[in-house]
Amino acid sequence: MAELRYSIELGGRWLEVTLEREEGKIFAQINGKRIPVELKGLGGHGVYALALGDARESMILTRRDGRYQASLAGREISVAVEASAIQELRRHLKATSTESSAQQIIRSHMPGLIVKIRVKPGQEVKSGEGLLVIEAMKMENEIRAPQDGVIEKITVQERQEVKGGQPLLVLKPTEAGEVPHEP
Amino acid sequence: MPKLQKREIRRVLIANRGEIAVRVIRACRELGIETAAIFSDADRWALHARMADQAFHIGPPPAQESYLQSDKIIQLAKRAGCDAIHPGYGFLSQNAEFAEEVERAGLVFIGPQPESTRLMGNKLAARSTAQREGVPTLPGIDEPVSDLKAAEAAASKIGYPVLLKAAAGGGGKGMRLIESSAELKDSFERAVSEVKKSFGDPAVFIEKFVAKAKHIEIQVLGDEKKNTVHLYERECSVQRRYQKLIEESPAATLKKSLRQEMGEAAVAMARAARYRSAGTVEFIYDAEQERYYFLEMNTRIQVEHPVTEMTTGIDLVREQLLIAAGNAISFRQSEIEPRGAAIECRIYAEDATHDFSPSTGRIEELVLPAGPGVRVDSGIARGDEVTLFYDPLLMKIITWGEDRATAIARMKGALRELTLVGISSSIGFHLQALRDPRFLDGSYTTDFVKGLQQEKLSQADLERVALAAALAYEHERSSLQETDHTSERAQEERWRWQS
Repeated sequence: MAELRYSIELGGRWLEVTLEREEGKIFAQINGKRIPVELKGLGGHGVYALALGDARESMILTRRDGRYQASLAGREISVAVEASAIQELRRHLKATSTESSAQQIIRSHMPGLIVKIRVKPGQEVKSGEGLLVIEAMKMENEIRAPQDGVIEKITVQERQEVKGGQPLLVLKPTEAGEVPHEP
Repeated sequence: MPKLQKREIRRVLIANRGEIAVRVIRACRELGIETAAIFSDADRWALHARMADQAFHIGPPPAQESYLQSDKIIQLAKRAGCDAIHPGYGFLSQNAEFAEEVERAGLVFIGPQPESTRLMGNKLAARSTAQREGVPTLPGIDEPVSDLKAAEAAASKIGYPVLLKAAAGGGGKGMRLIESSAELKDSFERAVSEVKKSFGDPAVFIEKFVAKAKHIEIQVLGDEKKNTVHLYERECSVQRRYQKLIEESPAATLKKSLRQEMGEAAVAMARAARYRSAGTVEFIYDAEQERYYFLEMNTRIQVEHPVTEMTTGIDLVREQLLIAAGNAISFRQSEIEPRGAAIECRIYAEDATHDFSPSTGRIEELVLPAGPGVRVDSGIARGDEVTLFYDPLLMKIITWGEDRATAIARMKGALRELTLVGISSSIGFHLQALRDPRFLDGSYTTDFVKGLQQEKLSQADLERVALAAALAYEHERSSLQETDHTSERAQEERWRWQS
């Protein structure tokens, strides 16, 4: 029986999933449970039908920046999937390197104007804390820390115009804690 | 089909876009009226432009250069042989000068007369009208405050907290909450200059702030034969940054006697303004004291008009068209008998993970809900590009049920059926709101949104997403393998390699 092991990262947490094929069916192991599973694409734009045992549901999974963006009953969460072998290698590298590979670049998600920068390099921030304010569409949008961490670098200034996707700051997350809010 | 008397309206130009333009086009079609749409560069193949009989390019994407170009719009209407212009909501709908120019050009403006718009557009004038008509208004000073000293005197007389409001403002704009005299001293000058910049008119006045308030409004209709009716209330207390998100009728906790009283007060306001066409009189309702206060009158068809249409069975946009053609309102006050309960959820393109700022992108997939008691007023279609140039309202879902619980259950079902791929939307927010005990028992007030906790996904949810992601990943990889014409043997090899 052949096995595929994956490490799934969602909301700062890691979950291990093992997929096994047995007589044409797929079984998944997760958190000590073993269930028959099946996924069917409906139409090719990221809408899927998911069967977990007898339970059925629809889910949206789209690709974004090398990760999946999952939508479950209107709530969105960003997911990364890695084959476990690669995950172990990464952990090994992290442990032996002096520079942390876990850096998070926080980007602007829309074009606008930086009106206020609330933090300084070296400052510790908590998940949800306001980092800076971008003005767009006559509204002020607060950019918040996605998780606990330390501000490593700030790559913009107040009164600067930014494009969508432009890097704003670099956050070095502290060790993964709770699942952050992604309603 | 009622004859269009007095004035023939054979062709209408819709000076708007998105879902309301679609709505007006539908109403025109039913009456056999031809339609002309306008579109900016961003809306060249938008749903409303495709649905109309004719469509005209109006300018580049920014509203200032397109949907607000009143002269161009009127010229186009004449060129296209239109008899009338429907302004929708937002844009030029409450612009009295535009309404006047339309009339001067010999066209019919589908809405109230400019004088009514002017009267109700000035908050102070509207307030004094209310007082004259015996309609309760919030404790406040009825003249603009000329300086900080006058403001301080007014505020201490009324009692903090107070609202500093722009006389020329409306729809939540030009308002500032002041909690103490220190705060007033601090921000008065700045507030006045902001108001002057936004509205041209620096006049501000002070009003009492009701902490636990419900926003309840009454739909009215008036015609040129001096008939005025009300179509009962809508409650719109679920708001974020003064933008309504959920509306319903009837207002769950409003006494029958008050409902009647407020309806009559709204009619009095409409009569005083000699109001024609559809309008809405907004009130602040103090749930603790069971008292209502006139807030403002909106001189246009509103986003949430379908809620009233569902409970009364009356087509408000159709009434607007008939009234504009010189007909009397199609029914009498006594014939209006609301039935059941209706709820509307405004589906916005917004990113909940970024403080609900507007979301942009291409709509890759769109599946709309259906079923008994489910209505969808959509302005978008699959393949549309959602940009930042306009209000991010994508569509409205409205449900009706024999009782409130049924309407809510239908709405939850509809929200789950709605499939939108390519942009983030407010679906998650709406589902969360509809689970909240304060919404379910009807006690919610205008600070409802603040009390919503950011919801964490449960362990079970996380597991399901993880499984789906693993399967999707595996599915993608094996499809790639298949297109490489890899043999089954090689697939076996790959499985073995991994473990």
